Amino acid sequence: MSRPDAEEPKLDKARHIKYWQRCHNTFLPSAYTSNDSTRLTFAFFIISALDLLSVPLTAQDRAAARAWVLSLQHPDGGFCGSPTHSLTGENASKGSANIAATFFALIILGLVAESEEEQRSAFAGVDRKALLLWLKKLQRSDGSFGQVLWEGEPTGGRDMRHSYLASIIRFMLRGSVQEGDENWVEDIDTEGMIEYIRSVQTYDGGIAESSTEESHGGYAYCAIAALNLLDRHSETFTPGEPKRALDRGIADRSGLLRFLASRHFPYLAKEEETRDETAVNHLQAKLGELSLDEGLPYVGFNGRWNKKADTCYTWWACGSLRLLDCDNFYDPKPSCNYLLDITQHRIGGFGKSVGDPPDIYHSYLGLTTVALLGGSELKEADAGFCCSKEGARKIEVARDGLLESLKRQSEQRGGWGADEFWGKATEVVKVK
Amino acid sequence: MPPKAKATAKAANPEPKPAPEAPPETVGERSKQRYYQTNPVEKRFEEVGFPGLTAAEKKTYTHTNLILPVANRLVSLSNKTDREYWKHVAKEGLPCRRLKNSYHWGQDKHGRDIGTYRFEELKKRSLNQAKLTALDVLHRQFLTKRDAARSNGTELPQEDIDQEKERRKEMATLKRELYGEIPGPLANDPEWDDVAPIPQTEPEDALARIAYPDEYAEAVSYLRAVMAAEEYSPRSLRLTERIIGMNPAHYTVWLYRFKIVATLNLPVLDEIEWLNGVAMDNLKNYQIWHHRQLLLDHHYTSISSDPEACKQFAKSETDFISKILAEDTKNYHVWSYRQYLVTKLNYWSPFELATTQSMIEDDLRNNSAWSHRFFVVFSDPSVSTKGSAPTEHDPKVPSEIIDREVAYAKEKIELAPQNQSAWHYLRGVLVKGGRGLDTVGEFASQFVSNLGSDDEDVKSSHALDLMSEVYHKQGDIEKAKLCLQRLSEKWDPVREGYWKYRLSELK
Repeated sequence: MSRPDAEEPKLDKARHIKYWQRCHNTFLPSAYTSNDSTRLTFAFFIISALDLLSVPLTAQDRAAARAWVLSLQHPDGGFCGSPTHSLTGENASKGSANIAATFFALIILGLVAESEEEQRSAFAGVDRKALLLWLKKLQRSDGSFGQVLWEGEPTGGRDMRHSYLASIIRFMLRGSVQEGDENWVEDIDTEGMIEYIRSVQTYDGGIAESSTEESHGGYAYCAIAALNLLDRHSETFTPGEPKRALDRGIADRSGLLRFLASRHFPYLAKEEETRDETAVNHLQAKLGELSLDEGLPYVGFNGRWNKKADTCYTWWACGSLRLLDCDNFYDPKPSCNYLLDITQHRIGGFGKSVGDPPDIYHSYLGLTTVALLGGSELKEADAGFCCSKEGARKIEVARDGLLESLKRQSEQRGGWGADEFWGKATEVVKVK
Repeated sequence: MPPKAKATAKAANPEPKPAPEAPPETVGERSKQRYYQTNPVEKRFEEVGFPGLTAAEKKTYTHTNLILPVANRLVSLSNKTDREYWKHVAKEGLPCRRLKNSYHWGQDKHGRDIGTYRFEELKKRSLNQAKLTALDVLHRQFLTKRDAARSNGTELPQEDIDQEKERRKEMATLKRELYGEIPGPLANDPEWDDVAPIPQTEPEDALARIAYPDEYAEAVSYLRAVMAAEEYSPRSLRLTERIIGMNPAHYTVWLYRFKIVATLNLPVLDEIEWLNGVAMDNLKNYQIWHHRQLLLDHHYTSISSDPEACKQFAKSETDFISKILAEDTKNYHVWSYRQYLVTKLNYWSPFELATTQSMIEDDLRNNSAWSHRFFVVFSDPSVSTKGSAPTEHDPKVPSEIIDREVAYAKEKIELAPQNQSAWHYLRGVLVKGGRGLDTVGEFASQFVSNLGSDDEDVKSSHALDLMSEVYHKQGDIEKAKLCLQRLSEKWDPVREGYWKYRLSELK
């Protein structure tokens, strides 16, 4: 069962760079029209992939990215998913901001900042207060989050992804502002968030959209990362919390570990390639047939019990295990080999599974996983941010820079309470 | 300057006779010929230059080219010379008005120079242009008539509107043929004349640009306008359908569509029937199922007091769900909706349990079906505690049910001992029943023989995992360790790290 050719599979860095530069410089084909609502997501994949690959952007490209992202900001807080959802002028408030778009907007602003000075002002132009208040409105009374506000109500599934996005957005903008400070904004209900996450664990130890639905590796990642980011926040700013969110938010840790540890399996390349398309279950080797001595050439990951291997689940599982300090549950080498030999595509990028053409989503998560597993001249990846560690650091610099400049502005205004005055004045005007 | 000398010069030095020219074949050639016809000696000048011309030619050429400057008094001549000059011009019949060189016919939609057109091609084009102009006049007439009608509070007869629709189609075809302009189908529809579309504009260096099809770009620009205007009308409903057809993941068009359905109080069942087709075409789409959920809530308010209607509706919904699941047995959104439906309509029927049973029999490893079974069994309010987490004991569940489910899982495990789904189901059932793993220790041990010896055989790594926990609970740490070691070394080495972690946790 050892790999037939002794040559180590490699990340074809040049091809990946080509792939992402093509995505960056030219139009995505019409087939991507059904992704029109998530262009900010794709923009993030493109910018962040080039960052992981250490391909510098020109000053012009960086300025263009900033201008475009900021043009999608909604006047009542948050960012719209694409120009299709964003209106200007008197209709601007009729656009619609989206929680995922907001995360991707902020992270792009951070990633395209180069010098220390640029990094500190990366969030200049972001309406922090409106955004955080909008985020709070997206939370439901059960602690879950919606994806958009529709007629003032949080709308969309009670999806664990939204909890993750809320947690990371909060991390990116909230900072250490104390109550009473002019820039203090009422926080989301973090206890409610933790409670909600705690309530969605399923009978098999996994995590689903709700506790009765099917456990899913992607949701598990989102839950774990959401909790991890709450902890990162408190580690920095309120030391001495009684117990980490990660401990409080997981009802059955050993069950969750078993679920996550079960996501990978020996991938039987030959059998999978020759098998017919419709099969939905992964192929199992005969028990005991594989042993470590002979080496396991390929290890694939799935998101649900018995499902097939898929590039993106390598990220969701390995990222989760990293955040739980359980990296040693799997062997990074054969896991990487699966990506590099099975789903890496000749023209650059990664496909979903064997034989699939590359698409932006799988290409990005494939690349980030290779970076996470420590491979091939890529920047180190941050498991919680799903981008380079360098990028995650820039975000913190951006946040601190924004808070400082807000503080400076309010000091300059002096004790006039100018903000309050103008706030009230606009309200009066609105009533008229 | 004695004119006589010139005349003799002409006689002595006749112009070289050009070969008779072939008739022009293209529009451009004809223009060129006409140019030469009205610009004497010009062709010769181009060929041989001024010094190469005969004296007579030189004279004609100079005189011709002086006509305008002299007429405009840019060149001042004495009275006499002036008279002489004009006399000569008149005598030779030199052209006072001449065609200019390099007349540009412009390009057609393919970028082809119209000058290269043959005459019949140009004739056709001109005819089309004339047709378009005529149609445009009628089109404007229609707009004026409609405005007039509206100011009197009436609408034009349908016949006029239909004619206008035909007219615009014709105009669109002509515009496309002539200029490559593609006026979208909405711009062509008089029904949309009162809406000023809000096109999306973005700079050339925007990120993640998509080569939108023209029809999508047009439809979106109208959608933005009607959504901003909060219009809830049959035509806006049709517009949402256009958009959904091209971008079913548009995150607000669905919410807008639902608002239209609710505002116009449209029959929910019609909407659901339409949705069925869309769902079949877009198996992986999430928004479709969220929309269906909103429709369910909306419909429920009108049928909640009628149990029979609820049952009917649940039946028709589950029928459709079964159809979809036949295409994609593990579709997450569909299973989620199914749970929502069962809870909302209180449809805890034997039929649901039977469905999971037949799907599991079709594919023992269909974890979605196992998961739904767990839900059907342990969330049924008549036999369970409301809000009881799946990870905790629920004393309200009757022990017969626990027995039944334990037996079910065991039966399926025996058919496929390495099936993850069945083993985890079994564990889940035991937790619900408040029963320890040790109650199935013996069952598990049938898949393991002679552990630790040379002829060791294991039919299920999950059994070995479970046995290690049972031994641990019974205080037999050594045996518990042995199970984990053998998993790590022999029976499930891909998880070596995990089994080592479990070993380290044993105390």
